Amino acid sequence: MRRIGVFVCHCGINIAQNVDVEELTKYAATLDGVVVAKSYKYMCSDVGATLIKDAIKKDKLDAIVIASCSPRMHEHTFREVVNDGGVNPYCLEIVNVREQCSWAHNDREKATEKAKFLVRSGVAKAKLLEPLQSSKIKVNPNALVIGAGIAGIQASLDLANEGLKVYLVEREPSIGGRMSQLDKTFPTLDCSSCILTPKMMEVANHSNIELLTYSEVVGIEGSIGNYTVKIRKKPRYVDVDKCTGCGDCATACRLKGRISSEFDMGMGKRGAAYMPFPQAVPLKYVVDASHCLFLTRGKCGDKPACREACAQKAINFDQKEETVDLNVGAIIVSTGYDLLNPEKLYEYGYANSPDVITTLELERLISSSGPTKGEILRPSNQQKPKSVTFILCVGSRDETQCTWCCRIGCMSALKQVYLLREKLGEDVEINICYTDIRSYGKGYEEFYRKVRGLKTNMFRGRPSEVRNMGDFQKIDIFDTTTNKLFEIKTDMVVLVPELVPRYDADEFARKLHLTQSGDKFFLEAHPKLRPMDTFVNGIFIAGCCQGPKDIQDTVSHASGAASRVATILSQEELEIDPIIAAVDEDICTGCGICVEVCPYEARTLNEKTKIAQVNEALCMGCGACISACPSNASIHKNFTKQQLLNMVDEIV
Amino acid sequence: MASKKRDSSSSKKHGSVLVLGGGISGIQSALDLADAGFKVYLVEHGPSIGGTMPQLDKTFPTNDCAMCILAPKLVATGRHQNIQLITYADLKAIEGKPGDFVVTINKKARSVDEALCNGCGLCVENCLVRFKPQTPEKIDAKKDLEEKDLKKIDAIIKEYGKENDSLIPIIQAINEEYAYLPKNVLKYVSQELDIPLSQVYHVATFYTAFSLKPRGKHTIKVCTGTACHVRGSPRILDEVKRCLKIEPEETTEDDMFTLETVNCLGTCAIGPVVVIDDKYFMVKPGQFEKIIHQFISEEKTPVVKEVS
Repeated sequence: MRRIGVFVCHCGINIAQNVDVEELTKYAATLDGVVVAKSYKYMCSDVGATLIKDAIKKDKLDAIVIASCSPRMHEHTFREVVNDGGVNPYCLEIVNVREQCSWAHNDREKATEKAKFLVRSGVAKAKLLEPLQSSKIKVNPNALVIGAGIAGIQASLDLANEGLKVYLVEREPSIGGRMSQLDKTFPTLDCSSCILTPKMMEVANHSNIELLTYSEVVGIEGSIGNYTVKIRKKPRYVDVDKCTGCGDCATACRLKGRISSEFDMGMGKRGAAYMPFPQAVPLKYVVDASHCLFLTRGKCGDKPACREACAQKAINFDQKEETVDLNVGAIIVSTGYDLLNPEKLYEYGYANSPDVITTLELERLISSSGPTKGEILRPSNQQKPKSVTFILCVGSRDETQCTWCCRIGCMSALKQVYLLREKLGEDVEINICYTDIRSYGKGYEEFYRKVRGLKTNMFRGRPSEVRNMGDFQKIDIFDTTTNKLFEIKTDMVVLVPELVPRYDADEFARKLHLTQSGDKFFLEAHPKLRPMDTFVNGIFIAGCCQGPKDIQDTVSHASGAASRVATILSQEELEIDPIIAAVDEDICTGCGICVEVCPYEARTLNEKTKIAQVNEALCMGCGACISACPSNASIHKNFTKQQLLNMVDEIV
Repeated sequence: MASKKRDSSSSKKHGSVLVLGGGISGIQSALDLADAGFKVYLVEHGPSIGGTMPQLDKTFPTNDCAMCILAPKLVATGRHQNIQLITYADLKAIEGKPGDFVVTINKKARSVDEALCNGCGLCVENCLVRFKPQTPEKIDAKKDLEEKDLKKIDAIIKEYGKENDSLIPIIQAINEEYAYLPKNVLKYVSQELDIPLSQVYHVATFYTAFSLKPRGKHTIKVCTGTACHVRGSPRILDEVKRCLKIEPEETTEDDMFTLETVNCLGTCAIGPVVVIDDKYFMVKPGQFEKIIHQFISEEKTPVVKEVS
């Protein structure tokens, strides 16, 4: 028989005003199994804690019921108190008589009556509470960062500077991501690569960072503190130890200038042996296996031209795909975003004319390291345009495409207007078709005002259609500020498309068991208070894979995620909450339903015994497997069926 | 999930960090640092941490209750072994260099011993300057009324009595008198019947028979019910609008006509129906202008006579 102590808190007057605490205490003392019942003004105070500890000693208590506020508030406090007193901290039941009685009701008599019911059921449960031990797991101190855009770079540097070993995985041949494609950044007009390249170099040279470029995550196993991640390293066909980055292979490549460059968004050409951009890290060449003549047809002239040209003998067509396993304690996902393909929105005529381009394509034209060396030329005739029209919100804030706002479209277009004015002079006509200008950041509104003053024609509305008239593009737009229909004839149209999740976000989310929100971006554990956490313990998200962000927000997000990871990895051991699921092995039939319903992948079938088992590190105690189990073999520790039925019996 | 510290090279440098400002950003920074094993001093200007977030009710876009998501963090901050709270204090000076700062904090006198106070609230209840009563200045609604209006309304109120139940008949009578419900009159009614003004408005805005806006001398009702609609009432309504140059619920400039639409007048057989005051007209498109001119001329005849 349990020796139970009941402690009722007045919570100042919070509970006492609507619940007769003295009567409740007297009543509790009469309940079966209760040895002592006491009340105090503030149970959570030091005096209250001493009162509980003294009673435990004096009356030899082995289970405690505390009638006070919500367990969210002070369950943790009272567990520590009970533990100090010498009782297992899980032999504690909190009865919420503040939020559920005194705050919710005005009738003192009835509220007291309800409190009695709740205390009675709490005592009934306390009789069956089992002492639990929290288990401990060792933490692997290494971190993995997936995706080496600005978010991944920032997170890796933060972690590495804290003294932690970081594996940075990037699927492209170079790190840098979207930011490396930009010319200038708003609103300060910093040169993008001037601020990014030093960070990329720091990553390359940091002794705590191991860079795995041209590599992808294949699968993941384990749980917080101990993940094993399988990485596939694609063959580069270039020996990175020998390659000096001289570029002789690219010059010699027979396909030179014949393959559309991904980095230049198709505005420029490259060969099969190439370097994505001059500031690439690592500064090593790569052979594109899907185009290279030798690799696709087995023949490239007499001998592969690149191999002949390379003085270092770095070209190696015998390289094979490699798979490596990395052991890490925590993971940051910073896989970035894609731009919506405007071809889907036929009315904007992206597919009909080379002169209709996207904002990132224009960015490559503006960039001095881009295909036109920074000259703004119409793709159709390589002439300078006399007028340029921007169309904002392409696919954004649109019920039929993407409901959300891309957050950077307005500002990136305004920045490009500024740069075009600089490069093309006063005489060029620049039009902007916008929905709203959302210039919400620090210094953004000021930048917007500056650009408006640069002879920019602003039309508030969405064009109905962009028509290719051969020599020019015709746009009909109804301006909602003047209530007039305008017809714009323009040489170049720049579409500002929505930011969307990576094309393979679904597949990636499945691999890492991440949850996605309705828009398919990775879902954070709490939109406000846990914006970097995911529902998988030990996996964090940073940057645009969580939702559209500008560079400022991305860097903050990444530093935040790094700090969350550092908190975990700085501990040698982690304590695991023992209130989780367990399996009654005598009853379990091994049907596997619990494995299917578990959202955290914590359930597996034991290969030998064919019965279900719980990975304690992964289980979050959500209870899905408990209700799903057809044979009652799933148990929720300290929320067992018998405990709950006992509680219900006392109430009804 | 906090437990034993890792004994690595990084943890040997553990120092302490000062966080200035105990709003949600300061709280989050302090908790992250403290969880990572750093000693944190959290300095807050006000007597409690929390900042602006506890002042919010809900937070967009999820409509989470602000306090419900903040409170666990407040509690965690308060009881974290690595966090030392210094509330009701200001920064005075900073000296030194990164890694070795000396910060001077000015702690304001709380006049309450924090170690002894258990938050019972008895001091608040016994404080003499607590809850100084603040009653709004009483304004007599009578002042807003002219002598003749006052007489009329007093007569109406006298007729129906100052009971709660009399509110609707009184409002009806006022509506008959003025053709609408003037604001100052309603205020007076509320004062005389001792019914809150909000309740008077509650009644006045519920029934479509009442209007808070001044109305014309004559009311024109155009039926837009199903039967009348089928027989062409939208065209009639357009005609009326064109003739009088007003939209439904509006009054002509000369205060002669107020236009209303109604959903059925129960005389579907003669639809489309237009009612001017209490006279029913079966109107065919193009006829309304004639009807209204006739109505105006009848109205104006006595005026002309008087002048002559």
